[in-house]
Amino acid sequence: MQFNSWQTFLLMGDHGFYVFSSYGVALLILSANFLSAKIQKRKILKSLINHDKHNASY
Amino acid sequence: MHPIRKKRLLLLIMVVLGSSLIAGLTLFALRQNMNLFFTPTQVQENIAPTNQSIRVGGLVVDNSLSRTPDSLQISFVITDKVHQIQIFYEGILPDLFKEGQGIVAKGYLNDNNQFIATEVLAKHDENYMPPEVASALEEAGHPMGK
Amino acid sequence: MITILKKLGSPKWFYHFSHKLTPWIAFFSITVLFTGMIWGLLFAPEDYLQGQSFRIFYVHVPTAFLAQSIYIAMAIFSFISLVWRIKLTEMLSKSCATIGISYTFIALVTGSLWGAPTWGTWWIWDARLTSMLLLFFLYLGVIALHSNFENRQTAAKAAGILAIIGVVNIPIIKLSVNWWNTLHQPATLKFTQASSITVDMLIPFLICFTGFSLFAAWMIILKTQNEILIRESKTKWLKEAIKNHAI
Repeated sequence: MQFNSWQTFLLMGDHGFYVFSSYGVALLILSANFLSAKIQKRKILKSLINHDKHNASY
Repeated sequence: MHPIRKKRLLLLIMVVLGSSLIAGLTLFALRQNMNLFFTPTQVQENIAPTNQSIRVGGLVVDNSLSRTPDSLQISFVITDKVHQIQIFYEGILPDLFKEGQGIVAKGYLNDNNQFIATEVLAKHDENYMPPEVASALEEAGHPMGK
Repeated sequence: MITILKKLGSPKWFYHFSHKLTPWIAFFSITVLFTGMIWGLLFAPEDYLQGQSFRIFYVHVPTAFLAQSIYIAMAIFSFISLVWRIKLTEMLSKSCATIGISYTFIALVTGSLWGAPTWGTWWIWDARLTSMLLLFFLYLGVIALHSNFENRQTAAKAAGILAIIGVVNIPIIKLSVNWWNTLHQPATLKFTQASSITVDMLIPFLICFTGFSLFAAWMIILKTQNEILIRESKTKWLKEAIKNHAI
């Protein structure tokens, strides 16, 4: 461990803003990628299932 | 291979070669403009224009930094290990500014080959190491950035 | 040989195979990435010159490197689909663009966040930064071409050609720091000689790099699966799989 307290960890030698923003931006973009893929899949499946039901009722 | 596929393959290879050629020629034509800064040697050889906004870069010479008391005015000398230029600057220096380290300054060259800077940026090298390693290297007589 | 390629190029085979693989890739990419990031933030030593801001290295370098690798993969997939008309590589190529532009964006933003405290500026138009910005716009162009044509095949053809032409930019990014003088420093990690970094700083980097690579593979698989669901919706195997909830 390179830090002996939470405070020194969060300060990051006065560069806390830059360090944590970098990691934060990366995690945010990665989560957005994952979520958009999952939401897209749900939408596609829904439309496929609806389409099938629609066809079956005729 | 099927003749149609062969034709497509050849066409794509031509596209790749063509675009590389265009990119290569463009970069060749722009070769000086692609450089961010002039070196002290280029300044000495009068390649760098005077009295217009340019950038120069080099290592800060040891013990060359002098401050005017009670102001932000400073001057220092940079070198590319062949020639030197003196830089005058008024403002706040970046954290990484140190004697022996690289800098890139923006400003203009006056007629006495002195550089009047409006912006000084620190340029660091590609070596990363913990402080203990750096001080051990220094003790062994191989300090970083020299 | 041809039959193996036919099998590998079949969306059905890819869907079933990747469907079994995804839980593993998901698990490993998340655990490895978190391990790497925590190691980078908490346990890696500070740099003798930059201090703690050096920790940005562990996000910036892997994403910048992979943004270029993914671009090359995208162009190769496009090349194969343009010459041999294989549906699967066309879908893979399209899937590479989204994660590729995401990594390029992360590399640009973290580079800026790193440049501000170290160099003293958020942005400079040197050869490295400019060619990396060009990579971002190339990805943007590929994505725009994929989504702005009525006909999916025409879109894939146009996007594929742009992707292939854009490969010229990759060696320019790589070598910009050697060919011209830039504010950006030359490469720390080298293929042909020892890297300019100590081992205790290198290990968290390798973990982060593996994590980001696995994550990219995972996202490409998810995107390609979605693409298969759209394009193969009329096929028997997919209808049956949906009915059996095997999706």
